[in-house]
Amino acid sequence: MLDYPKALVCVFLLMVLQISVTPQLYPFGGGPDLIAILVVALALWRGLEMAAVTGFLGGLLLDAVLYRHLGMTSLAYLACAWLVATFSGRGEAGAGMLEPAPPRPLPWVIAGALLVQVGLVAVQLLLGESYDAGFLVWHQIVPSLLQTTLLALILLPLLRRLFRPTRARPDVSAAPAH
Amino acid sequence: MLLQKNRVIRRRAVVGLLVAASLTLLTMSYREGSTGVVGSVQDGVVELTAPFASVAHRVTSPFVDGWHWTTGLIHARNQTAELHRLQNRVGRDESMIKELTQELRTAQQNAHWVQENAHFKTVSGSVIATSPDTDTPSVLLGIGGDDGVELNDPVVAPVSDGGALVGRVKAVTGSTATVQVLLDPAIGVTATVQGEQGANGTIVPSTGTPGELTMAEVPQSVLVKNGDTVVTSGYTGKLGSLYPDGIPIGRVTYVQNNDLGQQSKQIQVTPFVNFDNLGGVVVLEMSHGQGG
Repeated sequence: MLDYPKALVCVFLLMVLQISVTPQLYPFGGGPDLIAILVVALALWRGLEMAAVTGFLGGLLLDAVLYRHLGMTSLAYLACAWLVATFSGRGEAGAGMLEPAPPRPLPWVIAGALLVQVGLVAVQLLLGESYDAGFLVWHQIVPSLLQTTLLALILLPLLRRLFRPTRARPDVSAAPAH
Repeated sequence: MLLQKNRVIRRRAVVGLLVAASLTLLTMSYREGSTGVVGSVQDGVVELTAPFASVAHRVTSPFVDGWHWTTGLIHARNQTAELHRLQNRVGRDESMIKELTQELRTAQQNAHWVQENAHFKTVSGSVIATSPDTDTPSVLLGIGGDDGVELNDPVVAPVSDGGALVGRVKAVTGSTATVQVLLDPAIGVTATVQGEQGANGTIVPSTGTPGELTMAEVPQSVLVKNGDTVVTSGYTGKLGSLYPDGIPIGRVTYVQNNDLGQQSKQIQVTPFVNFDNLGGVVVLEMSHGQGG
């Protein structure tokens, strides 16, 4: 029941960290995407709905604070939440439902962060902004992926404590007959 | 089953609504820019988050400063290492430039000497080794019989104001030639003091002063002064020679002419050529009948 408030607090704190701290550490762009870590973690441990709401709000906050087009980053996080939840087999699952155990989150974080970066570039290209592809890849996407991966190693255990993954019920139909 | 279906529908509806909201916001934002409702929302969010961002900034500043200090230290160390590497490289380059400059100067002097002595057929080469044997000093040239060098060919080296005698070729292979230098006691070059009629003698290494030459068998009757130039005497005269006449050998630095009863006097000569630092030389192909 408290998952939504916790997610909202998390998304706000991570957004603040993302805009205030990481630019000091990585002044040349390509900083870590903390919101993407949260969205992927929620998509794996709490399902699509909470991940989508969190991603939408996180993207909205980031766009507002960074004076970008509102909704742009939200779309990228929504796509990330949907794809991770769907392809990890957690798309329509929920607490207490018969579902497989959540997969290891780190590969999904990397895939999700890559998806967000590519999605942002795609939306910006659709809006008519042009970039040097080489610069974008080597100075934005690759550094961001590496830093996100490193920070995910720290952040995921903390998030796991807050959003403990739902345990899968034993599949009774597969139990041996006595 | 129905409950689960309702949940699925609700999730899909939520996601669909969020996507629609994002697209609506994006459209509005694209149309309005930073004015209107979108601008107000952005300003509001910035005002809301600014205090938190400020606190986060202050709280994390020590860590950020520590990070910058550490990365700066690593960067400084890398820079120091790079600086040392560059210094070494500059040193090597400087040394190479000096060496090349010296080679160029020698080559220019060689070319100048060859140009001024066009009546000689010559071949230029470099000293590639010096014999460590002080009793029979010699140098090895990187040119040989394949280049036209033959036994007993005279060898000269460029000096500041022309060329001076080094010695003669005493052994030849296809690609190398060994030169017997003036400091070899067995060489015996016939020489004369430039401008003094009859001041002929033989140049041999000085026994008391290493690196110096002695001009022996000079008649007592001729007048020789310090500073006079000693040159090869050539083929003519009673002392025959392998060397053409007029090639400078050295400068007179001491004349011993007060021994009464002796038929000849001894003259100390400082060679023009620095045998410790021989670079480029010119071989005169005298055996081909091109001598002057």
